[in-house]
Amino acid sequence: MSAIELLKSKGLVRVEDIVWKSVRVSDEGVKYINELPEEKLIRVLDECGGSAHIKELLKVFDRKELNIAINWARRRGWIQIVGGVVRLVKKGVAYAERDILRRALAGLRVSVSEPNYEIVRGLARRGLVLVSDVIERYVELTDEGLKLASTLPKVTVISRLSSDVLKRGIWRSAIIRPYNVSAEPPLAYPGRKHYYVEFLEMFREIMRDLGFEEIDGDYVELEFWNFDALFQAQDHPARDIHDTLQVLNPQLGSLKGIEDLVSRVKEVHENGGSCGSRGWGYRWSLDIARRVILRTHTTALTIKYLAYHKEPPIRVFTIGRVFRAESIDYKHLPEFYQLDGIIMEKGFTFRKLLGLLKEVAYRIGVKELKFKPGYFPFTEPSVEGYVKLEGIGWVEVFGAGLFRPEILHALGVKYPVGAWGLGLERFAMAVLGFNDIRDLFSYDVSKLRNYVIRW
Amino acid sequence: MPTFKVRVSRLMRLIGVRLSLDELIDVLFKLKAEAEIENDYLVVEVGPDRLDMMSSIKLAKAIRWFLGIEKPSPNYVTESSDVVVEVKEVPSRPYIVAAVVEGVVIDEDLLEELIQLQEKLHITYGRGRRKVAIGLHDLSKLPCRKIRYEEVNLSTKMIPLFVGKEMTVKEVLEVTEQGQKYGKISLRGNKHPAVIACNDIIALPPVINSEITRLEVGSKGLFIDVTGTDWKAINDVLNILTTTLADEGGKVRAVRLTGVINAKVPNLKCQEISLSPNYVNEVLGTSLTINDVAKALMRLGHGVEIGSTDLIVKIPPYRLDILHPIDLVEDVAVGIGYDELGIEELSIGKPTELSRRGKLIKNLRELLVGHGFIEVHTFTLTDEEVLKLLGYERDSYVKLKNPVSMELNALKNTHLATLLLVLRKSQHAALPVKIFEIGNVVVKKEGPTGWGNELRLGMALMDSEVSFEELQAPLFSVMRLLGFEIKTKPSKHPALIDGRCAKVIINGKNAGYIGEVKPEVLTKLGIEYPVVVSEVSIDKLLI
Repeated sequence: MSAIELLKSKGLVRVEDIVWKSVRVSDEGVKYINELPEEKLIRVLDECGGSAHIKELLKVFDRKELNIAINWARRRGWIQIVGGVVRLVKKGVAYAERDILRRALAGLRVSVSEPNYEIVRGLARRGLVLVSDVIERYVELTDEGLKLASTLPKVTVISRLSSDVLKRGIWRSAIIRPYNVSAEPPLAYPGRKHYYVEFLEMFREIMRDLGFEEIDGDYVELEFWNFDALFQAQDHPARDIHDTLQVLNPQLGSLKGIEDLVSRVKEVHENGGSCGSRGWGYRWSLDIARRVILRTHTTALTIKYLAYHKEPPIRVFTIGRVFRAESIDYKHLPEFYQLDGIIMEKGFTFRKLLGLLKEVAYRIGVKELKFKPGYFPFTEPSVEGYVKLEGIGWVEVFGAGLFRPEILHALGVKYPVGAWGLGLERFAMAVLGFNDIRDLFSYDVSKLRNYVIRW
Repeated sequence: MPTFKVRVSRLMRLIGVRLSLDELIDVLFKLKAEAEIENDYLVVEVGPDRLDMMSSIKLAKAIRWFLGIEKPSPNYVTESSDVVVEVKEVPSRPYIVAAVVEGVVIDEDLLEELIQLQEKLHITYGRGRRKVAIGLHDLSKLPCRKIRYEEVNLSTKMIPLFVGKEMTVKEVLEVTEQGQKYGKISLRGNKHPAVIACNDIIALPPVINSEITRLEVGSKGLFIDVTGTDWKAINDVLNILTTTLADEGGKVRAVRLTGVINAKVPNLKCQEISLSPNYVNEVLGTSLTINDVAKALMRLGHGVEIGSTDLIVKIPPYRLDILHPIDLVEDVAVGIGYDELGIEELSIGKPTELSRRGKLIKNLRELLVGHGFIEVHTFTLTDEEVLKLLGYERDSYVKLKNPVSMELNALKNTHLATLLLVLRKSQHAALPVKIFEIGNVVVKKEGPTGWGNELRLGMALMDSEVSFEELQAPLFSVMRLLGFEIKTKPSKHPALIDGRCAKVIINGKNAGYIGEVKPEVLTKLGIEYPVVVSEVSIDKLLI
């Protein structure tokens, strides 16, 4: 028998219990704090113009999530399914549910008589919140108890230890009240670094360890550096408005001060200059080369570096943003990262380039690598490096090659230059555990707060 | 990347030796092509430089050479035909070439492949038919052998392919799907280019052919016209088409062009390039003999004559990608196999040091996280409306000519824009929300484009109640821990509350600002909690 029960049986205290429901968010609930699966479904359907086949939806949802989304959206009368096609009926929002989830993050208590309790029960059935009973017990002395208490010696009960309690030695004659140490604590939110920035930093460190120096350059660039200096023909489809983002203010920039280089570039495009190439055989236009664009690859920077640094040895790299005329979806972004490196040494060869790729792959923790002949307008021979990623299979990660003779000739570089690049997003998604590329640029702080580190 | 489909059974028959599907896919991978099985078909993605491989017969040949089953014979014989094309002035589409192919029977698979090849060439080399367009005709249906290429009036009549009734050129351009898609490319006033046999229009390049000469299953010969704006490109495309049909067993007959162009086409002579094994070894880092090099090149379909020191390489006329001996060096590497080449280990240099800038970024991130801030990572692409709302002048940021969406039509010149968008999206999160971003914004700068990156730190704090000091304190702390002198002086910013806005002076330089965001800005953005922000130029700290 507890002390209270004993006192109660002797008529010294009165006892009253009030039962509360303590609501906590489950791990699954945290995932849906911004959007319940059925709300996501509604948004996706809306983006797809009101309806989509289940097969389509499976590109955006995993199967389990989709089942949940369909189940609840149907119960709420938001959608209809006919022959595998999910059709939007009503653009619903589950505001009340999400409100509960959010409040429960910080610790929420409801009484069974509140109207909110029904919503809490719904969420609990879905496993999005965990509900436990909290009993508040009120104990009051009876008149008889009071009488008896007044005859007892005084004892202080300490709930929080304070500096004052320590300094004055109060604790010596007091009882320190015990806590419920098995209760769930409130959530803590530390400052933290961004997972993708950390991933990029890891690559920077690997490159520096390999003896490469980091360089950095502007996002706004002339087509001359992004394409012409790299021997990319002026009517190449990558240069048109469907691929390259062009600047409006101004549309044309200046190539003043590098007239010699410009004329050599023109020559290799038109007829190969005197480097033993046929060239592209067309009339090269200065105005196209002067177009102002957002760089589409970081090779625009490494080639510029090479134009001003022609003596070996050179080992430089850059990790930076590049831009393409691409709409945002779970697989594509108009702005993303590339790693680009160049290496110039006397006697550098294609086999050494393959050796470099292998070394980089090893250092980023890739165990299997295979080479495929590739094509890039500015390198020859060219190679694509495929790496095996766990649970995904072979993924093309590297693009590399030796800069073409036409390029080196125009730049006035006398030694072979190995160039290689790496798209970082797909790799980052595999390493960080995302299947939506947008998560790398998330604008939602709770996603960043709650991201669980993968080892 | 260009992809096309071929029937597996047809491809296997043309290869002529037993290969498992895995072996087939593996060989193609080594030849720069990726392949996947889709029901009875193989979907092949070739390198953008090897569009000549886009048919079963060319794939089969490539595989047979690579496996050493067949010796390449890069020479194609062309005898003359009796077809003459008289070329008139066609300013909007000046060039035409043509060829006759006899002795090839068009079956269902071949027809399907030819149409596919035609479409892919239109998209790639043809730049959506602007630069090059192809017309395939049944030779036996040509109304006569005297062909003209000239401009016709829009009132001229023809029977467009698959429409089956006569209409005017104007109607063809307006009514047919092809007309609506390609009708404007070569239209010049009320004139349009046409290929005419005696009195009948047989093609309206680059739009549509005539029903009269429709190529179909059972056709036994072809007349091919290729028109465009680039003489070299149309010849290249004609070479791919005619050699593909020649490999199928057809006999290519040349056509004479007269009038403003005087030539005999196609020209299927091999390009000859002299290649030194020393050069190959120097580039690849190998020690191949002249015979090794010759063998590797033959595996890629080249003809080879071995001289005393160098090789004379006879390059088949469809290999448009060979511009320079370096392109043959790659073929040697492919012929040997990239995995068989072996690697040479990289001599690893001394690790390089983190730059001053890199160190500053590293320490800033460390300290900011220690002060309880969460790092965010946002796009540079931004909605111009947000920049305007924050009071930035129209010419102070980069505007795009062809944005992918209206929300991403400019480049941010301040982190303030994206920090506020993050806060708007994070209002459900437990408060306070303390964030920072270190990254580039794009601002006016002297130089070739007029713009340049500037590395900046942006910080923001959102809570149910905020004060200037709550952000000022960590900013001062962080900067002082980095050894900088920092102070703030009253200032103005169009997005910040007057009297609660200051410029941040670091080491005596004006490096940025700090302040509380105006309620009207927050309201317009849909943010319901007060916000303090600061932005400091890291590049200015490094000067």
